[in-house]
Amino acid sequence: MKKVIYGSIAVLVVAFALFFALGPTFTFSSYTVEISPGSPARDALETFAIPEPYRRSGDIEVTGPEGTLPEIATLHFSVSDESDLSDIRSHYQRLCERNNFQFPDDSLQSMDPELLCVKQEERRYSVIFSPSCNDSGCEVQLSVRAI
Amino acid sequence: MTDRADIEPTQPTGWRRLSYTYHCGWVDWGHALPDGALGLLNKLKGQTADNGLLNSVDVTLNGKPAFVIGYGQEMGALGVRVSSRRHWVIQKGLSQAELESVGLAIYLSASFDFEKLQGTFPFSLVSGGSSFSTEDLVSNVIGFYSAARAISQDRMRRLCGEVPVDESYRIWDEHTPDGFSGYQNRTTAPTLFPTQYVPAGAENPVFPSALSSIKPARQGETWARLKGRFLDPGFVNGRVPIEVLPDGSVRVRNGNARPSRVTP
Repeated sequence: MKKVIYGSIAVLVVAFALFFALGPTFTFSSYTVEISPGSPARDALETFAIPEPYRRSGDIEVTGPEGTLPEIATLHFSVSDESDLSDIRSHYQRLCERNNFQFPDDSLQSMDPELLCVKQEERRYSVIFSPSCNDSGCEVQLSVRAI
Repeated sequence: MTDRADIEPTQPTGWRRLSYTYHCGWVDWGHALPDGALGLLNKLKGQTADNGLLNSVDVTLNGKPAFVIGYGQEMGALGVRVSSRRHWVIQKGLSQAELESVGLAIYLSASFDFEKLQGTFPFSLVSGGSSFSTEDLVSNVIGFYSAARAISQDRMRRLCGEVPVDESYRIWDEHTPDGFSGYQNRTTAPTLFPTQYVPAGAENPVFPSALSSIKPARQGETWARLKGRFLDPGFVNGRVPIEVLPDGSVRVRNGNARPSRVTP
C-alpha cells in the first residue's frame, strides 16, 4: 500500500512538473498524459438533478477509468414509496432528452437492462438507473459511465 | 486493479465486481462492461473517422479506400489521465463479420498497449503491478462479446459459470491470498483454479464457444495500426492523398515516401 501511495505521489510530482514545462497534454514514452482535474462521468451525472423532494445520500463516488473499465460516477438517494419510482424514472427520461442523450434500442436494452440513455461523443456516456427495494423502502442508484 | 474486497456484492444493487467463474476463471466485471467495445464498434460500423477533419483525409490501405478512427484505453486518478489512444486505419466496405473481426483485433491490440502501460515506470508504481493481471484480458474479451453479441452481464455470468460469493472468497484465500500479482496472464485464455462448485451440466471447464466465435483479423490486411500513433497533421490539414502500408507506415500516394510522425 505504501508503495502505491509513494508511487502516486511520484507520478503526480513528475506530471505536474511536466505540466508546467509542456502544458496540460503531453506525450510520455508512447502514451499521452493529460493533466485535467475534471471528471467527465461526474460532470455528466451532475446534469441529472435529483427530483424534489429527494436528497442525495452521501457523496458522488467516482471510480476508474482503468483500461476497459469506464470512469463511473455514482450517487444514491432513498425513496420511501415504491410507487414513486415510475415518476422518478420519467423525470430522468426527460433529463435524458434535455441533455441530448438517446434512448437505447432493443438490442442495447437487452444487453444492459438498467440502461436509461446513452450519448456518443468523443467519449461514450451511459446513464444507468438502478432502484432496489425492500420492506423499508427503496434506494435509487444513478450512475454515469464514461469511456 | 481488483482486490479481495471486490468479491463482496455492492449495496444496494448486489453487483459483484470480481468473481471466480468455472469456465472463464477470475472475471473483473467492471472491465467486462461493454461500453468501450460498443464505442469502438459504433465507429467501425459508421465506417467514418470520428472527427470531421480526419474524414476529409484521402487514405487507402493495401490499395483500397480506408478510413481512420481514434481509439485507445486510459487510466486516471487525482487529475492525471494517461491514454494509449492512437489512430487506426481500416478498409471501407467490410462486411459486418469482417468489422467484428477487425474490432476484436483493435480491441485486443489496445488492451495489450494498456497492460504494457500499466507495467511501465512510473505508471507501474500507481497500478500496483496489475499489468497483465490474470483476469484482465479474459474480462476484456467478455466485454467485447457482450457488445458484439448483445449479451447481458447476467447472462455472461451464467455462461462463464459464476460461483457463489463464498466460493470466490475460498479460492482467493487458498490460491491468491496476496492478490493476482503472481499470476500474470498475457493471453486471452483464462487461468483456472480448482473449485468445489460445478455448474449443472458441466463436467469439465471449457471456455464458452460463444466467447470465441470471432477471430481477430490479422494486422496489415484489412486494418493497420499507425507506426507513429497519429496521422501527421500535415497530411490531415493539407488533404494529402496517402497510402498506409501493412506495417503501419505512411506514404504520400504520388510516390514520395514520407513516414508518419508522432504528434503531441
